[in-house]
Amino acid sequence: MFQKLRSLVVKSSAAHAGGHGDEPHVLPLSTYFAVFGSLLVLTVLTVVVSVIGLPQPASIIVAMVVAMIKASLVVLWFMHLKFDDRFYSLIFVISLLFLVLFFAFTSFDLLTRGQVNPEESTFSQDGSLLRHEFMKK
Amino acid sequence: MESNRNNAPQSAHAATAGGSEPNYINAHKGIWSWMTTVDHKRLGLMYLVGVLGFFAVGGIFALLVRTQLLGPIFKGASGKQEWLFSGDTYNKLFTLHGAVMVFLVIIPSIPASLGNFFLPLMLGAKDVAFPKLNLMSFYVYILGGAFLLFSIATGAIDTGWTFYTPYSTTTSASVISAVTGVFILGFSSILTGVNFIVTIHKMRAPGLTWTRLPLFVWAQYATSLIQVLATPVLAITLMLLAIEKTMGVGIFDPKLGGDPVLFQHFFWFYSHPAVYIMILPAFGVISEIITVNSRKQIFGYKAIAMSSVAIAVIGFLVWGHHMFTSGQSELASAVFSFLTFAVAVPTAIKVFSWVATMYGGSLRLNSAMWYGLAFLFLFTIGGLTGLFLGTLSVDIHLHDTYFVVAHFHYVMMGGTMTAFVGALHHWWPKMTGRMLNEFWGKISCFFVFTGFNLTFFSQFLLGTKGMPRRYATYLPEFQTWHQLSTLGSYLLGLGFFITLCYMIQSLISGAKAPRNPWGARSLEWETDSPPIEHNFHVQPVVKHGPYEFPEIDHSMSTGGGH
Amino acid sequence: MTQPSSSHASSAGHHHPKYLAHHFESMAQQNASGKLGMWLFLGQEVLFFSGLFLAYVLARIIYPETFLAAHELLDWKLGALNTIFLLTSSLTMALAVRGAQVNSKPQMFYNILATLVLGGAFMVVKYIEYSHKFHDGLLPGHFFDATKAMHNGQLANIPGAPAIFFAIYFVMTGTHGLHVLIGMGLMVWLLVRIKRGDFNSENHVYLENVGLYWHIVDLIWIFLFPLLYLVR
Repeated sequence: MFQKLRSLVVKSSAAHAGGHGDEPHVLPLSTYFAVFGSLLVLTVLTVVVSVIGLPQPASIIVAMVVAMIKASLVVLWFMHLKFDDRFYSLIFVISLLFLVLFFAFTSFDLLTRGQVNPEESTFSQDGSLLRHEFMKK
Repeated sequence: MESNRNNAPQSAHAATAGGSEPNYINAHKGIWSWMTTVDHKRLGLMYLVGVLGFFAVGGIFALLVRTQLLGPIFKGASGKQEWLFSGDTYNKLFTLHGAVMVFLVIIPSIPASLGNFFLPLMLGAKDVAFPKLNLMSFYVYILGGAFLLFSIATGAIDTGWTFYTPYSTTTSASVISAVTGVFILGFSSILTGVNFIVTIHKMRAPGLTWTRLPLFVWAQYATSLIQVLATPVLAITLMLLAIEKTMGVGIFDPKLGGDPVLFQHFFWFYSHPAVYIMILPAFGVISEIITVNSRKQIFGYKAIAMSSVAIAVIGFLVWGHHMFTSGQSELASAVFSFLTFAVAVPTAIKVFSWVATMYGGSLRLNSAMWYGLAFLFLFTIGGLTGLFLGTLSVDIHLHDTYFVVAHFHYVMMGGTMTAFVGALHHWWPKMTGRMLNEFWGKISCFFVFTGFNLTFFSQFLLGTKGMPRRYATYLPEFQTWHQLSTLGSYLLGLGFFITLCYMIQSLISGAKAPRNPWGARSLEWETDSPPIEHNFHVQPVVKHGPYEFPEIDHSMSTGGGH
Repeated sequence: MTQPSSSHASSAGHHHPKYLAHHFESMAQQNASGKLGMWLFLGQEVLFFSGLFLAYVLARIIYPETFLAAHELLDWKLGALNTIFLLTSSLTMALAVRGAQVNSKPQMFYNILATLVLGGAFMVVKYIEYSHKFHDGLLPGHFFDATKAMHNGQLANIPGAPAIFFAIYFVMTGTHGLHVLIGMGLMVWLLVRIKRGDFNSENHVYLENVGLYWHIVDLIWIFLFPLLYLVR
């Protein structure tokens, strides 16, 4: 794993190498239209799923999975990440990892509050906004 | 001397100057040539002036705070007799001290000034990758600073540098302009980070492999990673704060249905890694100073380089240790506490490696090295007391006391600022072409070291006795320690004032500096002092590691790989 | 630039075009640097928006009913229309970059123009949506006006904190819209430079970088659309 990462870094930064392969990689037009077509189909799919109204957890999961597929299509083909220097992918993935980290720790705190002292599960002075009332559902 | 392909233009320059080639300072004349310069060395120098100026401002605030604490506020016959400042003024003073020192001094101190100046030189490059962007980040920095100063002029802020909600969204102080200033400063930080990472990746001289980079460069690399990945979260946090304050949105304010702890998550997701933005460059500086002045291959090159990156990554996992007592869930606190201990490992690797580097070396105790040794002592105390605070149960007692204040001053001030001043002593000859006065350098270091310990060690004691931070007054039994602390702060101020004096003296009448006064091996020492406009006469080609000093007996060398 | 960049025309004899900055050795190095810088900037953008998405997630955890009820007040048809505008603009942007790769000035110009127009169409739809919300009093924070919404036939008895939902809606779409506007500004600049003949197959990293930026703006919308308009 470390070796692989290292080779990524070293490869991407062959400084002053001159002829490092950054020649444009021209994709055929058909590829762009195929990607665009898939994006439209997925958009329709996500709307249809919402209108049908799947039950609660499934609905959001499907919506997010579809959005992620769409995002990957844009990133891999329109943004050329599939054909470009792998180090760019590494940067992008690292930024996503930190995003996940941010989400994970913060929601972890929110979801585990009040387990030792139940009164800590509320944060508002206004009784109508007690957190645990919403958390129970 | 391997190649002469760059000789043609430079000899053309030289011809116009009549013999010797002009350096970066006198290559172009006039204020306009400075204001529009894209030369990383000039920008580094301009940042340096800016940072030192704000350091003086922040320092004056600190001295005022300490002066207030010479005596507690006693209720007089009139019922209200205050010593020096009112409580409100005091709140503004410590807030401004914190905000100025964090956002305008420590964060840009080493990266923006010395990093800008030396990174391309150390890499054997002509400039950073994006010189115009570099100029832009400088102006963004100045603009951000102007906003902060504007907020001081229009009534100042009294929230503490952390801008905690809901106080910050409800106070009448000029929070918006201060927050806008910090928001803008963040962009300067991000752009500098992007610039440095690209420079390190793409601009290295032939032969300068990743394992031949000076450790200062590695430290800058790790710092830049944090700047790019963490600072945007601060930006969005402050934006939400400003929106909450103007529109009463209620994301953070419990009265409106929001969650105040959420603000602290947002804030510390940036601000804890920011601690490493502040300290990592100092680690880089110390790796240079100690190794060059020990005349020995550094111990554990790879370990030090990798621990910088490890600190940068693990530093993102521990922000919750600022929130142990703020209503965060107990389980989350326990996890954050555990992870906090993990940061100590790569940090300790560095400290042990520096000590091992000195062991058996032939130490040269110049003033830069004095500052380097002061760093080792002060930072070790700062780091170890961090472990006390990372311990959940101990933190409940010590949270928001002077113990915390002393801890982070030992790290930020005793660590970063000591290293920064040490770095100025180390690289001053290269930057200005003049030598500093060694005798006065050691005198000032003595005052700084003694004054610092007097100021902040007494605060450790105050903290353990329960003196809370950010109070304008205190119970009479704390007075002795407070007065000792104030006395120390004056000594500290005196030490820095002496430094300022002999730096000015050096600019006027200092001895001319040779190319390489300390016998270092990294590339910045291979060009003139001060460097020429395009850094090197010929494109340097690197054939050795940064610390392979000629006098090292290689058959005996046990240092880590180069 | 204070230095004459032509002064470094090297005696080593390798190709040294006029658009190669003085401090780079080759076009490959210059292009790779520009692109690496852009990708780092995009990483920064991801984390910038992460804060908004996190605020969304936590508010939704705390007020699930609010989100279910309040999203009914957003018109998913307009949202879907905007999604199609942005996806198409992403296609034309990608085609513009391809135009640069094959050295075709008209392909660059008209595709960027199309992207600009589609971006404009997105903003027009956004304007229509915003003005409806303003009219109905569905505004963030203090400005949320339940009686006005009721009066205008909107569902106003939303449980929990509707002001927070609309705060998040406006902040997220507003920040995104600001990015679209910045992108449109960059595209005007691109059009000028294309007309001037600045870009060719060897030198188009600026065009490519604006493209990358535009795609990330599209990417964020891909997530905003289901999260705000299609909550179930």
